[in-house]
Amino acid sequence: MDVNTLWRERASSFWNMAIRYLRYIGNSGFLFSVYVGIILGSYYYGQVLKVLPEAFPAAEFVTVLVFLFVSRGKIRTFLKVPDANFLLPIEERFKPYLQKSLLYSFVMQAFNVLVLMLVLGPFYFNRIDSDRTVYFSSLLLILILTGWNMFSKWEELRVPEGTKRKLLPVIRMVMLLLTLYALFKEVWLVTAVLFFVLSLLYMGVYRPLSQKHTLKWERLIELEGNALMLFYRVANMFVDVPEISRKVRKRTWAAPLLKMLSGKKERVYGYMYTRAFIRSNDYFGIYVRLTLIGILLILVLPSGFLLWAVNLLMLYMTAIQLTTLWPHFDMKVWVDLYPVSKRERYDTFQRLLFKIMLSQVSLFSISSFLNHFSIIDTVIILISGLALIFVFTRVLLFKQLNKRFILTEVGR
Amino acid sequence: MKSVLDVTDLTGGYSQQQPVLHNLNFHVEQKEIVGLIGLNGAGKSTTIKHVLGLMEPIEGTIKVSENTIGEGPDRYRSQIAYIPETPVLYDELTLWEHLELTAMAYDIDQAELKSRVEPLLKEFRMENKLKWFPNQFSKGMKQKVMIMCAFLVRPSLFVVDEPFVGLDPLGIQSFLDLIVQVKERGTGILLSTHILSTAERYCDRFIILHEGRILADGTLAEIQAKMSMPNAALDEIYVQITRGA
Repeated sequence: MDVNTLWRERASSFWNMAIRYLRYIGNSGFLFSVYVGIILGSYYYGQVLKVLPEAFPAAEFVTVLVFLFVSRGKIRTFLKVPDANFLLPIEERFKPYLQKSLLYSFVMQAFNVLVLMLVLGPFYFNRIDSDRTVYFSSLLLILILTGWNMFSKWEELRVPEGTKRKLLPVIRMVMLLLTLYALFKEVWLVTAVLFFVLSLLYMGVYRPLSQKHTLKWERLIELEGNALMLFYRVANMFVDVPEISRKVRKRTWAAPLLKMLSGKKERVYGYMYTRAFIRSNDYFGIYVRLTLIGILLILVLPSGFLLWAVNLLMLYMTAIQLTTLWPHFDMKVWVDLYPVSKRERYDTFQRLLFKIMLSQVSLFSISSFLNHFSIIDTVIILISGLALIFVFTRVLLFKQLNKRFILTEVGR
Repeated sequence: MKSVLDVTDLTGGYSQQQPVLHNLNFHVEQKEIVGLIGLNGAGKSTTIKHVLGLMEPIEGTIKVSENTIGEGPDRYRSQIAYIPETPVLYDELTLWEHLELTAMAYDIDQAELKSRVEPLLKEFRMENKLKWFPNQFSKGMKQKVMIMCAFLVRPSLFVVDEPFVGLDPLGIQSFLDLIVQVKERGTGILLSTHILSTAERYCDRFIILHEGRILADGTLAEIQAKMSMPNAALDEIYVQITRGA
């Protein structure tokens, strides 16, 4: 069996699928908002460069930002669950497949880092070094670092659960941070020494792992699943993705929220939906992420139109995302057999969504107040947010769900 | 008899801090069926994953026909055929392509594949479903695909995880007949199950696993003697042992 062909088939079938979704995303008006974002962004970028104080810790800032991109080391293998059964006897002959995956992952990662460095270009020339040669040599070193991280992480994945498995990523992260910092601080001797240490680490610690440990198929398949799920979840913001699979987390710490959200008189749908929201898939993760991004933006944006718009945008995005909770139980036949009216299902869902969104707009209002101590901004954010939530749960929710599901029994 | 699987002092599990298997010692010889018996969560599947080399032992060694996985994963694994508990198939491959893929992985040539497949297809009444995709199969049929793929291979060790769930009575009988055939040919079989009545009839020896430890092992007569429960059925002994533990 030719594993190279297998890899090419898998990769191209992923990209065929991805392009289909990307086309939907392009058609959804998202591209337009990206253009607006770029135009607004480049304007603000210039402004920020002008007003940024001399004392701004430029090297530290760039180090952290580049670190976030370089350290990710996302590995795509295009492995499938049955591989752990059918391909086990050819683990050794399978090597070219994995090498291809690794190379592919490196190219994708390097591309991301490249884009980031391009965007950071003006800042770099303005604050760190105006010499082009230095910039391009640094860029080259950063790409090497990206590769080092990816290949080391790859070997690391073979190590079974335990202290060593926890320690190795820490070493990797510390080395990346140190090297990047030395690079942006332009202490060349230290940088050279660190690169020497990096190569020693790879040859002496990471590389030999492949001799000592077997391939961890299940871990690789899980990683691939996660990467795919991330893609699906992003796409799911724009279109329905049927492949989104159901993962459950316990989240014991969130148990008190269950009571708050499902209300005093707990009924069957409230019981199910709140639990699904907190534990299942990543509804809760989506809520937390979007809320955090919102809070962060509100904390840094200047008072004015953009601030108000971001508030509404984040609320709207969260609400749209959470509508995917509605069909969560559709495949479970017994839910339809419960002696509870369908109308109650809709009402319960509406109430739950309203409560969740209320918590978000409250958090946004509080953050806005902490940023500007301006009653007016806070009131605008709170009132406009409440209005949006109200319109969404009363009008848009029904339309949104009606587009995708049969709601006749809801009785509206 | 030569032994095909040797597990020595195996301590294992996903996390080194919390092993789920403690100091297991057992072996499977040629021409014998060894039943791996235990409750849900007793460690049967983890044991199997260690045998397949999907997990690394925290301590101890596993040898299949005298080879460890460290000496070459492909040689080690080509000695094993495995039927998993839940059938996992490729959505985009037909029944025939699954068989073909298995043949490629185990270096079985086309002619050999054809001659081995025909009786299997007939036995499991799947002759006219060669072009079907997994989404057209019921759970039992998917299980049959996995079983046929495994029987295609002529390994020295057969590892079977809970094969009876989802199979129809005829399917179960076909499977058992084939297992006996394979055994007569000289293969060792490790069969994990909690259908004790079937295990009692077909297995030559038993390993009773409870919370990651072997509580008893040996032939039914040996275990009966040890528990001083002469003539007791495997069910009764099993309940007695696990309650006492």
